[in-house]
Amino acid sequence: MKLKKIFLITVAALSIFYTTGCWDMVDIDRRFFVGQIGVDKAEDGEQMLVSFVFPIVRKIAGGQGGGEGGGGGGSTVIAVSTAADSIHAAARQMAMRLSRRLFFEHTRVILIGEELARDGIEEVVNFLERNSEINRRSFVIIVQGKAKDLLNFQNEIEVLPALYIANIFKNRDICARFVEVDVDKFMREIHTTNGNVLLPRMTLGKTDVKISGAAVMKKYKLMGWLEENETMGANFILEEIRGADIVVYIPGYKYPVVFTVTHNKAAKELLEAGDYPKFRVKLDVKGEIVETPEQIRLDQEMLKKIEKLLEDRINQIVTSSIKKLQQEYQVDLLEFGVYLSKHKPEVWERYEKDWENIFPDAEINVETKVTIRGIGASY
Amino acid sequence: MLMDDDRISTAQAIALAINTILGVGLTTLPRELTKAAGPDCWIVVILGGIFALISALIIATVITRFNGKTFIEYTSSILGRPVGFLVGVLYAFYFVLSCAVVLRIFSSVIKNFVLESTPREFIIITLLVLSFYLIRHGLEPMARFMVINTPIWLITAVAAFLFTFNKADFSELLPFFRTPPDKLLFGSLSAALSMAGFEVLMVAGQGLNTTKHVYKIALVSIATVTASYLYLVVFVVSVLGVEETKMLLWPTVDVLRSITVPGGILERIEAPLITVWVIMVFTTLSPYYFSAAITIANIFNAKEFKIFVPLLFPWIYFLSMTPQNVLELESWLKFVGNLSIGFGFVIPFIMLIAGSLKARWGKSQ
Amino acid sequence: MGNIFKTLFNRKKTEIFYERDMTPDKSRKLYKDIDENIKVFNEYLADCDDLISREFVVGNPNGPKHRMVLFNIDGLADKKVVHEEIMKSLMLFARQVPLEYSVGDKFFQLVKDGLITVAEVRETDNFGEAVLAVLSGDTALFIDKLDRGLILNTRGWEKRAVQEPSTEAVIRGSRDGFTETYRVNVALVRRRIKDPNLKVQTVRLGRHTRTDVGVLYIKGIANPSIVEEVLKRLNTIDISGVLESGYIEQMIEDNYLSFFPLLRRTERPDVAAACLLEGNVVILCDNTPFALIAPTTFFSLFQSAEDYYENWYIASLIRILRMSAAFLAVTAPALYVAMVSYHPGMLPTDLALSIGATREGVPFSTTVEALIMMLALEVLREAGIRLPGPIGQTIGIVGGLVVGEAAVRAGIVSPIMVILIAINAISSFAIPNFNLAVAFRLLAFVFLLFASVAGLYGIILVYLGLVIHLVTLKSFGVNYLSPLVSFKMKRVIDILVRPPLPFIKERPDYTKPLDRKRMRDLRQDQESEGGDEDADGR
Repeated sequence: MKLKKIFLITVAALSIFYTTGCWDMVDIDRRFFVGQIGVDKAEDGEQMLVSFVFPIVRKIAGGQGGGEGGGGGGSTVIAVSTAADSIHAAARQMAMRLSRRLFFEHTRVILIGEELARDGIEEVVNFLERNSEINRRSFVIIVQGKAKDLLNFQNEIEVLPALYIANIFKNRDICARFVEVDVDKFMREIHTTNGNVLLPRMTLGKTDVKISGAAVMKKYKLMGWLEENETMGANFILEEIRGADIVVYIPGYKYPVVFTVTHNKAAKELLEAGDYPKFRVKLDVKGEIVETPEQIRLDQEMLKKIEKLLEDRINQIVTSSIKKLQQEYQVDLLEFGVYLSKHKPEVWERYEKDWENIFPDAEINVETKVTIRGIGASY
Repeated sequence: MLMDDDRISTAQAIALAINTILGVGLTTLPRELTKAAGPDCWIVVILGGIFALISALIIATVITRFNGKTFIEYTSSILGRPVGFLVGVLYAFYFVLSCAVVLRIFSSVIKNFVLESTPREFIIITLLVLSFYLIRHGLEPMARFMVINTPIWLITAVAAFLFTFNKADFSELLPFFRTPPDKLLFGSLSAALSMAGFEVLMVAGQGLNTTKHVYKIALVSIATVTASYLYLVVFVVSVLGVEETKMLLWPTVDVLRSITVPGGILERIEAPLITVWVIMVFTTLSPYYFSAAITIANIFNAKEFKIFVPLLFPWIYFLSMTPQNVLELESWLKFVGNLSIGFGFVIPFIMLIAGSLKARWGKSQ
Repeated sequence: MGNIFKTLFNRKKTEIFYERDMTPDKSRKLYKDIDENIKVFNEYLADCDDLISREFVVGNPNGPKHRMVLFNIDGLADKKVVHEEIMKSLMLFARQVPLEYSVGDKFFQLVKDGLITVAEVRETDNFGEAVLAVLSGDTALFIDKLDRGLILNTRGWEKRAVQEPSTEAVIRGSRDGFTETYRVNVALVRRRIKDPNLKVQTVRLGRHTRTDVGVLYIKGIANPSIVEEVLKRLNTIDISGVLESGYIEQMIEDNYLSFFPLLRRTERPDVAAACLLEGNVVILCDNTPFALIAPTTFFSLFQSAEDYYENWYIASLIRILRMSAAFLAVTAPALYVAMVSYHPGMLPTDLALSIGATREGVPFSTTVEALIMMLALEVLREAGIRLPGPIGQTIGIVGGLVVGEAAVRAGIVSPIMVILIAINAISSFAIPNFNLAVAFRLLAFVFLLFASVAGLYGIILVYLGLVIHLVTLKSFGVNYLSPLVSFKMKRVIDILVRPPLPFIKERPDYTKPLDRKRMRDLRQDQESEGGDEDADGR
């Protein structure tokens, strides 16, 4: 008897769950996997123009799904855009125009148009923070121009343009001419420094894209750009170099010496804490020579000479980027403030409130020490 | 009252205590602590652990004096029957409220990160029904359940945070010792509150098969909990940074969201990790539920505690559905936290003093 | 169920001469008059055409003649024994019996002790015993003017030879399996354990079937409380018939409602012997090759005979493999549905897209798709068992390959689902215990249903419920999940790893053996005397 009751109750409960249940179930073929989100300023200047790019699943992945065998030519992605007050609102507005649900867990890149960035990106930050669907490992990029223009970008290598762009960042291993910022890092830095952050810059060609240099964000607003060499300089100070090529000419030779950085350490040091602080940055750079002029023989003396040249060159690169940030943009993106707050908290207490104005006048000396660890396979 | 064979060993009691303490607090603790002490949050955890240990040791001392009596009987014997009754009612209320808050926080996290449009009722009822099913069998099966599940969440949690190692920047914990002592002390209080749960042993203490090792139980469980919290806080803060940790409602979950699985077998693993966390919540909920039922059974001197289990069910459910939003829930959480000072520290302390006085008085007679 | 049995009993109640406790009704004593005896005996076995009765007269030609009668059942009694050892002996040698022995009790004693050349001879003075013995294959011999009869063991019927067990095949290990004959089975165990401490206690169960059920244990190892418990439970069985050990299993297990087998079964005498040596009790039942082992734990069901014959690392690897297979058998469809329908964010982007592409055009939701496939597979499996061997294989191939391929081509199911269900099914076959595999397949459906309601949360709910259930399960007072519930690291590791034999110095403690030590390492004898005094983590 008791058994029967338990059984009946279980069946009843199960059937109730079942008939009313499955609240969150959206099958995988009922979703649009948004690869990239583009945010621009709308024409009217008030709203945002939000664009989403997602793949036509039927056409990719060569599966025999449905049997009709994915159609030939044509684009494999769909791009839609709408003007809305916020990204979330835009995603909801899209529901009126799309047969399936937009799904952000596989989003790889978030592109912010230049114009909008100059006005401020607080809205994007807030969206990224509140939305629990967005992938915290997707990349945040400022587009020089309009993010919407990227909708036309096609590639035949990756299934999604977003994957193409995201995979470019993997090349940070060998190239330091841009910065890599994923949502994780973006949120951490923007909250720590209250809106000052370096973001990668993307430029559009006719048929391709290029990520180079960096966008300088100050108080959530885009101030300007760092060019490629300046970005490399900043990366030197931020210890963000995983691989970079430095080219120097030895006087008297036609061809350059190419040096690849493999190890990079930057030790910041506070020398004086007067009205304005005085810093010393010791760069310890190690790497290999990959190309030399054919005529020279690499002996100890020559290496010393090249090391000296490299040191001067790196000093020059780094100093120029410090100069630009101090004088032109007047924003501390090189973590000097962070250094003070972590290691010299008592000094930082004095500077904290007015750091914005103090930093541009801080004296920063760069000392570079280059060590050549390898010289390739020939003298 | 417990059946005669419903006894737990020392090791099982340790597992019970650890599982009771670790639960919903994990999701919010880093925020609380960074708000209170900034980069010094880890010191706060250690201090909080010391506080919690003191209160646990007081509770342990009280338990050693039970001498086969139940908690309520003991209270009645030293403070008088009415006081014993009152204390019992208060404790039962506290346990029921704790259940409700645990369930509510749990359902909020699930709804926010895993099942957005699934009704809260479903989430709460399913877990509550399972808890009901478990505690009906008594104390010993519950403790056994804890023992079995402990390695599962322990290994998962340790491994999960290790995957964030490449993102962690431990310099976020700098500078050391810059927080003023008053803030530090206040922060450690809130850390100690997250270690509430040992008071469950006050009522479950009657099921210990020996009270010889209660101090060991207190020491091992609080030390384990402190170590776990330390690990958690250090990782969360060094992945998110102090400032972002302060801003996020559930910073721990956001760390889980940024985990990269080596080999790229899975893209994001926060959903399975939150599901493992469900086990931890369940092992927090069940002891509280059990304690509430057994406390009431003790008040009425009932032979079987099982009949009180279904009676409490609706109360827990409705209480958990009462808070309107997360902010109100936060204030409830604070309230329960403050209550736990009373129930985990003040009342045991009074009982300790009263018991000692009575013992001395009895001797001099 | 109960009702059916009751009506069965009521209808047939006329001739019940057995007591509930299965001892024969001894009240009806034999008569001195042989004609009376024949009459009564024939009444008992009236309308039993397989009864053979043979009357004959023997005796010294000079002395008194003795009328005798033999009863046995055609086919159960060994004809050769009856001819050579009973009839021939009596008829030929009784002639030379001296006269002084040829009367009354003396003659009876002589027949019993000196004439009949059958090994086992018993005396009886009532019909109950005699009838029962005849029905068991013995031969009853009544002599005129004596109210005592002889029961002669002539049991010998057509039986299956000892063959390799079909459900528990091993690569390494003995090839003999239990047969349908109880005595042969006991002998197979006895051949492995030549120890007077191996005790066999036989009870008879089933009002009509009167099946021999033997309880085997090793005195001095097996815990008496468990042996007593087994016997106690066996004695509570009152059922019309026990045709297979499955009847016993279902009647004595601790929890009738559980999916999980609470008694381990085996067809292999070496497994039975191994379990006896670990302190278990083995229950053998007549008419079936399946022995039962009590108590049983969840993890012992994952063990196979050769685990202890093969090298330890092979055994350990296989054990881990089985565990993983069990995991897949239970959760694979549920995890897939949860990931595809609830958390596609978990899948790597490329995989998510290609799963999406294969599901493009499939009309059903993933859950329904999985359900269809799983049901189809269960049907195929069942059909494969019922059909004769060669056709069964054909069904497997036709069903698995042709139908699956056609379904994918028709766009009814996605190819990934076919792969998944195939993996799921194959995994379930990797579990050594058939009952457990069935339980897991059932659980897979439960997991699937909950996964389709609440995704991973649903899965963890079922997991929690399952663990609660397992935690509270007991098999003859032993925790079903031991050794997992104890804090003994050594024992917990034993679940996944089969340690090298020299390391297994002690018997597992879940059986609470009287003697813990199972090995004495003569090389380092003195060291291992240290006490290990716990009992099952309490």
